[in-house]
Amino acid sequence: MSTIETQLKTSKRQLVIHDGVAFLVLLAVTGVLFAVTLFLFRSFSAHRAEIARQAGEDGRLALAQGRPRDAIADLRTALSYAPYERSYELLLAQALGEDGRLDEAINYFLNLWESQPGDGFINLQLARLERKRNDLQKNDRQRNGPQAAINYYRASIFGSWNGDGVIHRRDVRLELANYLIEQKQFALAQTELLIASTNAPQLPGLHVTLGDALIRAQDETGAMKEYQRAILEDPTDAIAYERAGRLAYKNGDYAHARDWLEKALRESAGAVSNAAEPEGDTAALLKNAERLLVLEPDLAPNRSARIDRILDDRAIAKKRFDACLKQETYPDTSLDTLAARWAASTSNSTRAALLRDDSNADLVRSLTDDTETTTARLCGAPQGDDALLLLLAQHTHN
Amino acid sequence: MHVTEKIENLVGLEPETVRYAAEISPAREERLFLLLSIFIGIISGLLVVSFRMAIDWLSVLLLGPSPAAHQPRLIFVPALAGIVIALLTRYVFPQVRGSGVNQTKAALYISNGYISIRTVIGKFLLSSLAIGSGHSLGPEDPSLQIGAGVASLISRKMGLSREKLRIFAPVGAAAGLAAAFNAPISAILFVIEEVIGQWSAGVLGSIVLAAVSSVVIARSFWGSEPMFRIPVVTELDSRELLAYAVLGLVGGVASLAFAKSLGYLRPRLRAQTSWVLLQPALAGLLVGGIGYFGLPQVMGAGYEAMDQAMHGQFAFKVLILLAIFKIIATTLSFSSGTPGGMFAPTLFIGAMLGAAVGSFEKHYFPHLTGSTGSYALVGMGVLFAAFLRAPLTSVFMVLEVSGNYSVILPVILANTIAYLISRSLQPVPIFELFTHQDGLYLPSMEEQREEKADLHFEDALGPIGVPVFKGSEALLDARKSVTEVFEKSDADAALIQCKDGTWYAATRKELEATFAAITDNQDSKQTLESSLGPDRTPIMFPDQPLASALPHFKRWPLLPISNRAMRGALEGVLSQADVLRRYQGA
Repeated sequence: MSTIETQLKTSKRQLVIHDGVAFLVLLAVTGVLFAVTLFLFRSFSAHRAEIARQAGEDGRLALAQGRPRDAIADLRTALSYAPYERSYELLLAQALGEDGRLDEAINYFLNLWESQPGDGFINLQLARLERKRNDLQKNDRQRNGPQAAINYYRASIFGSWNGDGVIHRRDVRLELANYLIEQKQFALAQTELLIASTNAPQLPGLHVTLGDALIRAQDETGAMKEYQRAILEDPTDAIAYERAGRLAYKNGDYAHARDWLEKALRESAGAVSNAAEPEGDTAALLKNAERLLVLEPDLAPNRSARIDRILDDRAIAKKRFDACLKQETYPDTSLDTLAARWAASTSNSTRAALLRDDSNADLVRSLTDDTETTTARLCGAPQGDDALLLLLAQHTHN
Repeated sequence: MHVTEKIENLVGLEPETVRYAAEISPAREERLFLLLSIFIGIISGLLVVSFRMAIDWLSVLLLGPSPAAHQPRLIFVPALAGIVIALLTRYVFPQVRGSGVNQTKAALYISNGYISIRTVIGKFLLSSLAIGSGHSLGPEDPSLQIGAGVASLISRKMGLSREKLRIFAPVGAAAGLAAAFNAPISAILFVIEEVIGQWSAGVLGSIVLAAVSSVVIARSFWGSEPMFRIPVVTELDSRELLAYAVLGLVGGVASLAFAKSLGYLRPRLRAQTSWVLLQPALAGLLVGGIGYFGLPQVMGAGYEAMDQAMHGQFAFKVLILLAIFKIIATTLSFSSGTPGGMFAPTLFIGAMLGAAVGSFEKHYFPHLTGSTGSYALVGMGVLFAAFLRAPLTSVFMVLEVSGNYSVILPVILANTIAYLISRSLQPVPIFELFTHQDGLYLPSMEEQREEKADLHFEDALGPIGVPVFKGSEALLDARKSVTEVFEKSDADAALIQCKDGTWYAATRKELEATFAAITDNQDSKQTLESSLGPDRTPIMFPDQPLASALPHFKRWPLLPISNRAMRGALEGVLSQADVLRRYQGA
């Protein structure tokens, strides 16, 4: 019995040793397996990363070259090898949008947005896509309307941006303002532009851009202020002079128009491109402004000179009237009325009569204005001084 | 065999002597069990990581980094791979056909958990070749079998008993599946729901340990992200439940179509023995054709396409086409005997159908806020519940994968509808159908879950019709009272109530023998219960399984059944005749 007990004890010990050795072997096998797997996995991961990088680059290039369809295929490949690479996700969503697959692009961006609702870039892309979709679905009853795009624009402005957030936010605000102008929501657009102007850092060209936008938002006063700020910040800014001169000309402020247009031409003379002549008519405009300063009676230095100008303008208008009478084949009652007025005005339109009574001067001015307006309507667009007198007439009536 | 010989044999742990180890060291297997579970989990995790790597490598090598429609290789690569697979399956790895779930169950119920190392290697190589070359199959079920194979190998090498060998197979299966799914809870539930069929405290701890170990390993390589990017699940609008109910309906019908097509084609192809070697190649050609002519997404496991569906990147029509052609492609691949799993294709079809329902809802009811991704996610659970008939796993899988509890209501609703439709129209679950087609009759887990519970004591309980005596009575007094009672009664047993609330069921003969042994100088203080020895009738309650009473009748003539609330109080008694009568339906 005791022999059996001893053997039992021995075999128990051997069993423990066996199990111990077995576990050591198991541990060693596990270790080796782990090392081999790790080695293979690293090689595998590096290969996947390389495929992803290559495909991602191809996609980026294709997108930059305006081949969104190729970009989509490449970026999808890239994402299948690097599924959580955010830059590829953003590029793919962008490519989908550029390929016209708006719903897919919006869904993709929405998924990205759900994880990062405060991301400025994603919100901007969503705003652009909503804007596109809105344009395409103009006749669709189920369209969201411009509000969705406007909301995303606003979220983008208040969102987070990588890099220079101030610049990004300002650009998005300008884009939003342009969209609001397109939607004819001028008051909202003016507010956005005003905020952009207030927050704007001193950057060349920005105030001119804001001024241009304000003109489209029907705020010419604001626009003029922006141009003037631009001139103040950079007294050599030819474009700012040109824009300010043009606006002043449009508003009948010919003295400022002449000064600014002159400076615009002077400052742009040394430039590589003629920056101040975007429409190619700055010089002509300047010439007109100078001539208008001569023609406008109210800008005369004294009363006598004013009367001279009224009489000169009358003479120009009379010529135009006579020419129009000859040209007009279909008799018009308004021409008859004008002819009657011209006939009646002969006696009290002498220099002495005008000097004697200001009401005579006003009557002559009124006749000149009406003549230019009526002949422009009946006998075609006027040229030269007639055109300028017509401009003055229009300003007077406005 | 002499004890000494047995001991000597133990040193080498030969298979025939393994059972004697338990005699020498009874606690050995229990000690090893949990520790081995961790090793099984780690090794299974490593193998599953390698398996996925192999699939991806082969996919890049064979189909190129970005397979797209109209690439000729999409047609000939799966066909050529099919020839290689058919030859290797026929001549080298004959046990690797099928998904792996049934094979693991067969190992569990037929061969005591034995899965050969050759099968594991074959499954690894051929499944990765099949999936990597574009056959429409998934890696999860093979991972389950690989895990079970690892468990089987390790437990055999450690010289564990047959009982433990059988238990280790599902432990490994859970580890393999958990690593493949990157979702331990779903894997554990699936193995319990579909492989072992019942909750068993003994094995649950090991399954959990193995599954967690394997997932830790898998995550250390792949990261914690699931196979596809999960969309953000938004709060549910209660009106959307109707759409989810429709999804359940659609999923139920789709799973039925899928199961019917597999049930039809698979046995017919298996019967064509003359061209069995060509079947995987032909299936590969057809699946490749689907890819070549415009739907390369159906090839392989299809996780990328699921990801895209979840992120709303397919139009409604494309989603429907993908679901239909995935059913066709998977039916062809699987029925041809190509090794590979059904999980990924099932999830694929579910995701496409879910996204289709979501897109439809978004188009016609744009004011509802649910994202397409939520529908795709729920759709995956729906097909899982309806096709694989694992409703509990399907719910937890969606929750675990999405990490969002707010999706629970739609998941439960849609899964239940789909499950009920599938059950009523296809009474035999798909895995069971396959086993029947293979000539095997493994236990049906679905039936087991729904079987009526065993009978309980209360179902056979009879009134106390035998005399009852106080155990505290003095022996001499007891003799008098017992004799009197037995003279008036023909009972052949009696119950003695002991002071501590326990009972002793004695036969008439036993009592008579006890009283006959009383001598004249008997201690007058000796009580009846002390004369009966230390044994007492086991304390039993009415809700215990009736079958558990049977072993006790060898020792006791009847069993007193106690009240759980009042110690010592009896609900009735149970005799062997009562139990047998109840089982015989009387």
